[in-house]
Amino acid sequence: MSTSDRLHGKLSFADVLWRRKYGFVDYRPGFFVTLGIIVAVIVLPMEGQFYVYVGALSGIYAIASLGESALLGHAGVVSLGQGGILGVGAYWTTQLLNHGVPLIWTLLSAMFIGGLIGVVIGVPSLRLTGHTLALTTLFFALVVPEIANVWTSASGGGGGLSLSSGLVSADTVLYVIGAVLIVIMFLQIRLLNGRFGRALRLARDSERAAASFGISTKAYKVAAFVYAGILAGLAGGLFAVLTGYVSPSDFDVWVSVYIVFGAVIGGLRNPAWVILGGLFVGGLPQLVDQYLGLSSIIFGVAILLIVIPPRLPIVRRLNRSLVSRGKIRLNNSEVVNP
Amino acid sequence: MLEIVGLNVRFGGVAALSNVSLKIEAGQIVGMIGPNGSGKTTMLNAISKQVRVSQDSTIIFCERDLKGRSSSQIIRLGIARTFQAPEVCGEESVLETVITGGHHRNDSSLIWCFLGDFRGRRAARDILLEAMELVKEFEIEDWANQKMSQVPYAIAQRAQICRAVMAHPKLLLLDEAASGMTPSEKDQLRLAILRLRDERKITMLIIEHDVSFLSDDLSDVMVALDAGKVIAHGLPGDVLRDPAVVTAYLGSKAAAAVTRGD
Amino acid sequence: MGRLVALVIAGTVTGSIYSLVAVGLVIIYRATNVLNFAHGFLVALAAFLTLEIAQHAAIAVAVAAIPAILIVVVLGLAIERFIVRPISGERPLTIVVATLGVSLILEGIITRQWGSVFEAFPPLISGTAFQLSGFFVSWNQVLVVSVSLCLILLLALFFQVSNLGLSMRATSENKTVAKLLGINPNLVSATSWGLAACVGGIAAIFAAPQVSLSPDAFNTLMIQGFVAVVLAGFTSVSGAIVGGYLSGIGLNLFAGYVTSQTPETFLFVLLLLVLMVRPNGLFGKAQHVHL
Repeated sequence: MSTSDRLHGKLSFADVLWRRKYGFVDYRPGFFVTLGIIVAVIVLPMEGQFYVYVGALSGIYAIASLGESALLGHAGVVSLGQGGILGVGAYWTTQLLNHGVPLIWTLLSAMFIGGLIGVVIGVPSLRLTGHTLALTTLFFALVVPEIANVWTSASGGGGGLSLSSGLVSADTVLYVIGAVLIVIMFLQIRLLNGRFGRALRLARDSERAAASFGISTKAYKVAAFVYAGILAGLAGGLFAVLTGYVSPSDFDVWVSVYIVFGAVIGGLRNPAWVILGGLFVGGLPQLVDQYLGLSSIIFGVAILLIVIPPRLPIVRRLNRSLVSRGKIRLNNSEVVNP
Repeated sequence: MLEIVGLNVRFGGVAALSNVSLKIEAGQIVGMIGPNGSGKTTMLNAISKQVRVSQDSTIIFCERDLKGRSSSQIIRLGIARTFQAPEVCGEESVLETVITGGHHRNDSSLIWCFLGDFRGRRAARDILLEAMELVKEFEIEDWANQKMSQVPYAIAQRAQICRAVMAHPKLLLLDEAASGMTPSEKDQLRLAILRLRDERKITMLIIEHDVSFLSDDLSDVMVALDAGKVIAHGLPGDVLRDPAVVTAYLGSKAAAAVTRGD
Repeated sequence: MGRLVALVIAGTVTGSIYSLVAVGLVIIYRATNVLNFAHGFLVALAAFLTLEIAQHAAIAVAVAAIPAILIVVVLGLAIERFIVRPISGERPLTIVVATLGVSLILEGIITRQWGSVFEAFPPLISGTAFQLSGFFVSWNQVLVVSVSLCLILLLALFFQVSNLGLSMRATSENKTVAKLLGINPNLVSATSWGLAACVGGIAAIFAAPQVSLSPDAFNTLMIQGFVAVVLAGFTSVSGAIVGGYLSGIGLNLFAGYVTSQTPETFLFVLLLLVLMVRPNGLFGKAQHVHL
């Protein structure tokens, strides 16, 4: 009699589907909150194409931030180069669509290209330490627009490349992005809360222990790069379809920085919150950019407010006293009870 | 089951292990003692292929030569280990840590993990249920959902043991498993170890500083190391009275006292 | 031959500027283990402020530079005190994000104030100094190289001889032991940021005449500074200097002999090749930083 027969009925379907009872993070509330927000953004009647555009662009950043959060929060890798992969995905998509390739294959191939770049970046990066890696990926993000400027035949040079066929309305793009986000959110919850995530985190924190349980640190780190690359490639493809025009200035280093911000604001652990972080990062600059430069300032201040105050000693002390007085619970203190 | 002949491990100019030979039969609990720096942990590292051993060393496990194997292949051969300082992911819960031990048992390939990991769901379910049982058996149930970084050292050690047991090993290497435990906790651990041998048929090599933990009917055989060499090998009672062992721990005067029968 | 000399001279000038930027970055990194992504914008601010002050007060640019650099130093100290120090114990990712946030704010400020300014920044000194192999060397170029070398020399002396300099070196070797020896880490941290801001600000002002002033103008400078730092390895100030000159001269040679289109890409490729062989940079020591 197998173990599951013996304890049949002690784990509900939801427990297994959502990997609850595996630990202290319950992803369900976040999932449904974010699901609600995504549906609301899509379904609510929106005044004008501008808001459709903002919503779609936010979603694109959310997709890229999801990939980045796997690298940052689980693989222990700082990659500032996801924007570069996004750019490559965008150019690739534009070229393929202009040559008549159907949208679905274009996007799939963009994902593949993104994953490929993930390998190309990931394998050498195994030898680089944290800060050097961060800078090297930053350089990659800087090189992509430079190459686009120069490699005129592929990229139309500084003038950019327009989408001349395979055009899709912004509304459709928004729906597609919404659906994609929901699916990826679910898959990433299962990915990072399951075997892969556990192996990756152990490989990050203790290579020795990971090896002793059959986990190859190298393989998992590269896999994380590939995953993030796939999502960035997809985001880039969707960007090209949304805007209908790509140019080097669309993919400056700030794209990569914002993607990192989105992941960090989202807390790195729960994909549902990462999506919200990505939406914030993608949407706010669009909505605030009436005055040149103001959005950057607001954004910078917002990031600092999110990053610094929770870590101040006073705030920490307050948190601790609230916990000890029973006002806040530490993790989920529910005892395991199969 | 495990046969080591002429094991030599050098770190630069220092010989951590010199010409060590050891034989472990299936179903045995072997206790390894020795003062700090005598090479006990290095021994475990050598068996689990986490340090480089010299060319003339021989390590054979279940008739398989371990030479040339990488450290991540060891688990599949049936050897699992714990670490002296809990090598865990701090932000994971105790239960998640234990589940990680079953990683290699779930054979679904990596690709499927990205697509929702539904292929391996049966194995995952079994592993989860087994982890929950283990956690109850080792009495760390109350801590199951706490982050490893917030859990007391002794609990973390027990979690490590559970994790290693999850891997269904044939041979379990325990490095200072009882450290940080109260006497009653140590008694319970002793019982748990005996259960591991009797019910799960796991052979064990246990490093321990607390010599009394290992004697008292726990270990069938005891090995004493000092400065990288085996200085005594045999029944626990004999080894503990061996003058060489006493000298290593307490100095030669104490050894003389023991020989005199004080 | 003459062309080579001209390129090398230009490269030396550029290299001096990159060195100053790189040195600032390394000083901050060694003292506080922080990669200061805001450095580029902070020092760019010095150049913009100089122009602003020179125009409003109708004084020479070289004179206006002094208050501008002072302001930037104070700003650097403020950033260190109020943003970096409170989170100095956090994992490096958090600090990276914080400095990126600061760089965003600074970029926004620069864009708001000077977004539509496309003025030329006048050189600090005009006129030709002398001739070398048929090419003219301007006073400006002489100024840049000589001041840079002086600054580097002063910094070297400071680190070798002065108490504070020695304290900073000790802290970068082992912060805990330095604290136990009575060295005040806050003082070390503040000094490093102040020095970096000062030296970097001077570098930006030197670089300003060569770029048409716009918010993005100094991005290249910052990037090249980073490249020099990574090339040389994070842990070595002298390495940063060498890296800066290598970058500067290499860049100019490449631009002159191969193509003037995106010579920076050449540097990136060079950097990648170096990192393949020496993952810690040419002079760096292995760092075990867990991000």
